[in-house]
Amino acid sequence: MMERVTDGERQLVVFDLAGESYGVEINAVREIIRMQEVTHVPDSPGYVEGVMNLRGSVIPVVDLRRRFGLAVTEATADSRVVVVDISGEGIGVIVDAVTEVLRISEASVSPTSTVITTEDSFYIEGIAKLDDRLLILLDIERALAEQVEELTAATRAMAA
Amino acid sequence: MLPGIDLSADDLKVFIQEVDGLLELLDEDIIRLEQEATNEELLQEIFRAAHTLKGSSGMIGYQAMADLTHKMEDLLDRVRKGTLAVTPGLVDALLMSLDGLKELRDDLAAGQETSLDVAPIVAALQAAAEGDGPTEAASDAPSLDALVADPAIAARIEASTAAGVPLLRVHIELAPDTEWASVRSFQVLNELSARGELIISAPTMQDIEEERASHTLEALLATATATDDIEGAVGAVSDVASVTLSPWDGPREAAPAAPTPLADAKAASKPEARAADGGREGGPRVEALSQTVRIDVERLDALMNMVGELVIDRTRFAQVSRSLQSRYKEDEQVRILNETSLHISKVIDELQQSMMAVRMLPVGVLFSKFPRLVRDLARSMGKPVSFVVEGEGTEIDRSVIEEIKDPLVHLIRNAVDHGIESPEDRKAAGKPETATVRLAALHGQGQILITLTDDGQGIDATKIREAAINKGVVTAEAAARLSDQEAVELIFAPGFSTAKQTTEVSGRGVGMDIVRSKIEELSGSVEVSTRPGEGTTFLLRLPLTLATVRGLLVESGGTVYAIPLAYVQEILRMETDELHSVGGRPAMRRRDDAMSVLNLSDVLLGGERPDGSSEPSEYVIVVRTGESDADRPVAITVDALIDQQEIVVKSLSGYLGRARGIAGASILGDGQVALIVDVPSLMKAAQSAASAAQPLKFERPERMAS
Repeated sequence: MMERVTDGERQLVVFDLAGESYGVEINAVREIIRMQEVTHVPDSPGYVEGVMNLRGSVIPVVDLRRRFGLAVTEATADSRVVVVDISGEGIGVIVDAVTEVLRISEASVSPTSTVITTEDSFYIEGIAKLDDRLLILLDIERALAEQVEELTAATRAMAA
Repeated sequence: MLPGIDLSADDLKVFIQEVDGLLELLDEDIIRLEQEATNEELLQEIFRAAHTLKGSSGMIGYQAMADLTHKMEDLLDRVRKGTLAVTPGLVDALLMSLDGLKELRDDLAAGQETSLDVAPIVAALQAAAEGDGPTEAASDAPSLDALVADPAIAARIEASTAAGVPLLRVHIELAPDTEWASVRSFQVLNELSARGELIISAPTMQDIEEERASHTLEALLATATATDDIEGAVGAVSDVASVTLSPWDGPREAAPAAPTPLADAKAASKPEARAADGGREGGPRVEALSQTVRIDVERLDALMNMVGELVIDRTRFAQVSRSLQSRYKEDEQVRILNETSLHISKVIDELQQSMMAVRMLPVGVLFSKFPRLVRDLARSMGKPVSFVVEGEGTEIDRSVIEEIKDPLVHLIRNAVDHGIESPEDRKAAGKPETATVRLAALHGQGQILITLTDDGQGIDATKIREAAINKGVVTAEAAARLSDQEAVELIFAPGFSTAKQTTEVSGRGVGMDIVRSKIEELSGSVEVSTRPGEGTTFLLRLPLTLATVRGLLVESGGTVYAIPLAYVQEILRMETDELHSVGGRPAMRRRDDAMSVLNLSDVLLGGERPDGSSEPSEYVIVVRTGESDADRPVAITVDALIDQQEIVVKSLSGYLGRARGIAGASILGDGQVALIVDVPSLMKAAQSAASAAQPLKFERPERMAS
C-alpha cells in the first residue's frame, strides 16, 4: 500500500545526471524503463534524441544531458528512461541512473531565487538540503518545454 | 403494434427490409429519371418498385403507404404510356412522395402511428399528373430544414445554444387569399427580428425581397422573449392566418430539399402533430430493427492500435518460441508452447484482417449523397446537368470517407458553379445544353483514385495567370515563366479563387487550397487537368486506409525507413556508370529521361550520416507522386532493402518539431521504430532544388500531418 503524502511533504523520483542528484515529482512520472533502441528523427530539435517504442506507442525521447548542455556520454547498464507525463503526452527522458524514491519535507526546500540566479535556472524549482547532500528539484515540464525562446522570456520575467 | 397492421415482429422486419431496398432504388432512380426522361427501362423499374410497395403495404394493411404508392403508380403508369412527360415538377412530386414514404417507413419501424398526412403529397402527385406542376420560382426556395444545413447557419445555431438562448421554430400561415404574401412575410420577419435574433427564414429575406414569398413562412428565431408576446406581435400582422411556435428540435429529416407550394401544404398540415411529439426525431427508429451497431471511429482506432501491438508481439513471441524449441527439442511443454504460438499468430492475422475489413465502407455511402446536391445546385443555377456516378462499390477506410466529403462537395459545387457554362453559352459553343459531371472511384496501385470530370469550359491558363498576379499570388515575371499546366495549378495556391464574383453556391470561404491541404493531410494528392472548351478533371489519389500502409523497408545511413509502396515505381540496383551530373547535381538516365538522384539519409539529415559512412548506396528506388507531367519521377538511393510489409501508421508527437520529410512512424516486428518517409514533401524539396539549382531545401513550411 502506498503511504499517504502528508501536507508539507513531497515524494520524488531521484536520478543522477553528470554527478548531480535531481528530484522530480513522482506524480509527473509514468514509469521508469531500461534504455531502449532510439530512432533518430530528422529535423527535430537538437536535444531530442529520437523516438522509441513504449509498448506499441511511439514516444519522443530527450537526452537530459544534451538538454542541459552537459557532456553527452554513451548509455551504460545503469542508464534509464524516465517516462514523464507532459500534458497527457508521454515523453522519455534519458538519465544516468535512477537511484531512489524519496520523501522530503517542504521545509528542507529552498526556492531557487535565493540560491542561484543563472539564465538557465528557470527549470529548477528549488534545492532540497538532505542530511549529507543537495538535491536539485526539477520542474520537468519547464525543463522539457518546446520553445526555447519562450523559456528565455520566462526566465527574464522571473529575473525582473 | 400499430392498429390495423397485423404482422409479427419477424415479418415486420422482412417487410422493412424489402421497403428499404425499394426506397434505395427509388432514391437513385428518380434522380436519374430527370436526366433520362425517355429511359423506358428506368421508368419500368420505378413503376415496378412503386407497384411492389403498393402491394406489400396493402397486404399488411398499412393504408397510408398503400394510398401514396397507389397514386405514384397511377402517375408513373401514365408516364410509362407516354401520356405524361417527365418534367422537373413531376420529379419534384415524386421526390416528395419518396420523402413521405421514408417517413412512413421510419414510423412503422419505430412502431408508432404516423403523423404524416399523405393527402397533400397525393394532391401534389395529382397536380403533377394534370401538368399543373409547381412553379419554378417557388421551388427555388429551399426549406428551413435545408437551409440550416449551411455551416454558417449551423454555427449560429450552435452559438445560440451555447449561449443558452432558446431557439424557436416559427411557422406562419398567411391567408390563402392574400395578394401581399411578400409584404406580409416581410412584416412578419421584421416583427420577429425585433424580438430576437432571426437566424434564418424560409423563404429567406432575399427571396421575399425578390417577390418569391409563398403562403407559408418558417423561421428560426433565437430569443428569450415569451412565446405569447411573439405570437401576439406576429398575429397582429394583417393576413396572418396562424402562428405556431415550437422549440427548435433540429432539422426535420424528411424535409424536402426543394419544397413546392405543395410541400408547404404538407408542412402546414402537420405542425401541431409535430409540436406534440417534438422529441420523436431522436427516438428509437430504424436501428431498433437492424442488425448493425454504430461505433465511434475512435473506438475502432483504439481497437486497431491494440491489434497493432498484438501483431508486433506475435513476431517476438514466435522468435522466442522457435529458439526455445531448437534448444529443448524433446520437451513436451515447449512443443505445446510452439503450437500455441503458431495458433495465436494465425488468430492475430485474422483479427487484423477483420479489423481492416470492419473499417472499410463502399464509397457509395458518400457518393449517394451527391446526386441530390448536384440536382439542387443545377436547378438553382438554371444549368441542366447530368450527374454520373461510377465505382460506388469501391471500398475505402471509413476515416478516409469522412475526411474527403467536404473536399468533394467543394469540387462538385465548383464544377457546377464555375466549370459548367450557362445553357446558352453551351449551345453557342456547339455543345449539348445538358452538361455532364462524372464522379468515379476505382482501386489502383494500393490507392483509391477518385475522378471528378465536367464537360464545361475548362480552366483558362491566361485568366488564371492574370488573376494570380492581381491577387499577388505570383509576380508577373514568375507567371510568365510558368507553363500552362503550372499556371492552372495556381488555383491551389493559398489566397486564390477564380470566381469573378462569389456566388451563393461556392462563396463559402473554402478555397481550392483547403481542398488540396485536406487531401494532402490524408497522404493523398490532387491533380487537375483541363482542356479549354472541353472540360476539367480533378484526380484525387487517396490511401485505402489511414491506419496502415504497405511500406518498403529500407536502410539508409544506418537507420530503417519505410517508403509507402504507393509511391514506388520501380527498384533498381545502382550501377555507378549510370550516375551523371546535370548542372552540378547528381542525376540518372532512365529510358529517355533524366531523374534527380537523392540519397535518402542525406536529404533527410542534411548531409550528416550518423554512421559516418560514405559508401555509395546500393539500391535506387524510383518514386513518383502522380501521373501528370508536372510529377516527374525522382530516384532515391538507399544502402539496403529489408522487406516489404503492411505497417501500422503512428503519428509523431508535435514535440519532435517539424520533422520535415517524415510522415509518421511505425513499429517493426522486432520492436524497433521505423520512420515513414513523406514522399511528396521529399519530392518537392528535390524539385525546388532542381529548378533553382540551389541546395536541397524543403518548401513546405510545416511537416505534413501523419
